[in-house]
Amino acid sequence: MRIGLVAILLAAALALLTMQVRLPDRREVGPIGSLILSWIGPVHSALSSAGNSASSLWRLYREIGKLRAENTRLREEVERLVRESALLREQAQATQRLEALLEFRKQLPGRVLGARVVGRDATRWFDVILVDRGERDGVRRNAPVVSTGGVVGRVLHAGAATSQVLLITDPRSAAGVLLQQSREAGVVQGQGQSLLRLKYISRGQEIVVGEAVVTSGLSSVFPRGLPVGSVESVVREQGAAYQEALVRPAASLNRLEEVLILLDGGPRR
Amino acid sequence: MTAAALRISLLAGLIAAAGALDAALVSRLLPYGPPDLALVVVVSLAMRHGLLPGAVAGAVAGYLRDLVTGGPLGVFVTAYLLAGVLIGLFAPLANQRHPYLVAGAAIPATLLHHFSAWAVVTATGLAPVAGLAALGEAAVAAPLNAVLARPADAAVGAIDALIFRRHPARIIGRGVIR
Repeated sequence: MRIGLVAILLAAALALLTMQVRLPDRREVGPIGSLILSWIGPVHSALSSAGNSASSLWRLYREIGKLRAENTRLREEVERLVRESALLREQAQATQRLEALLEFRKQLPGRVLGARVVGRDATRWFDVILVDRGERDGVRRNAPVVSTGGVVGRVLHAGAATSQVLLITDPRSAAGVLLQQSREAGVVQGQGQSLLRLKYISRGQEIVVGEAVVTSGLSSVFPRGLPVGSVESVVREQGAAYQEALVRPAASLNRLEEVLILLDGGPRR
Repeated sequence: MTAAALRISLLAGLIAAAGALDAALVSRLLPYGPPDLALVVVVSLAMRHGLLPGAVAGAVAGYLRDLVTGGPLGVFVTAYLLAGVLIGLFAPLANQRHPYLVAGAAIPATLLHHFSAWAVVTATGLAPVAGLAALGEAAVAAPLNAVLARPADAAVGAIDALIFRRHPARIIGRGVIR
């Protein structure tokens, strides 16, 4: 019975197919098919819309994933470029400083050795810096140390590979100087502050604010003519035998990165 | 509504819904060798209820497919019908409690369905269809249909269970309720 019904179904299917294939358009759905299609149509449209929405959401999700990955990559790129930029700026500044130092070196007598500042006294009680040159480079105790601005100090202690430099602002520092215009001789001494004290200027001599102060060459450390600083203010005390002045160092002692050590130190003869 | 009418309505609705999903969504998501939900429902029905329900379900699914695809009526009627008949013939021999029964049946049913459709189209000269391409599509679709077989079978089982609860005196087909 069932087999018979199935056979009838199969025969009907094949008959339907044969009939359809013989039609001019090879298709004729008939009234029932049209009715079913009219029901199916809206369902298809709704499902298709849902599919489009799901597809859009999926594309959006994938797009977000891609954007996130790209964002991460770009952030890394920006960080790398910022690092590179900072490094290049640093190198450019170093090049400028070294060029100025090289230019300044031409004006200096004798053998000159470039050194990099690798340390600074952390206590602030003493104005001492550490440079990366020592005895094996020819550095000796009391060798004058200068920078592009002018006098920095002198070598306090020369180690094998590094040296300690006593800055001119340290209270232990003193140097014979001249007021460049008036040629009046005096001594500058560190005060442990940013300004130096210029001493032993005769009272009769007028000191002009802003006047340059250079080494006199009278001491055993510094050669003559190195810029020390400029007069910031004049100090006249009642009853004192000499007048004094405060001098701002020519070298930027707080921002030292490279210095020059005069290996043939001492005054020029 | 009688049990038979309710059953026919629900199963026809399920087949129609599966066909609509196939046409509107599945075939767009997977253009090459898409799974066939309607076929999987036919396989489940044939496995649960035997030859005649499987054949009728195949004919209905094929007719709907023919209507939607725009081809001559009868191409997919024949293909789905043959798949339903094949599974319905072998259903009495199978272990109905096996959890992967419908999944396993979906593979030969898919292959037969694709082959039948290809054979009908080729024999009637409706369109030039390369045999290798049809075989490739069948090879892709078969495992996908096997994966979808369990949820489809669960839907058919849910309809059976509903009918059984509302009309406990009636035995639906061979009365298999998993």
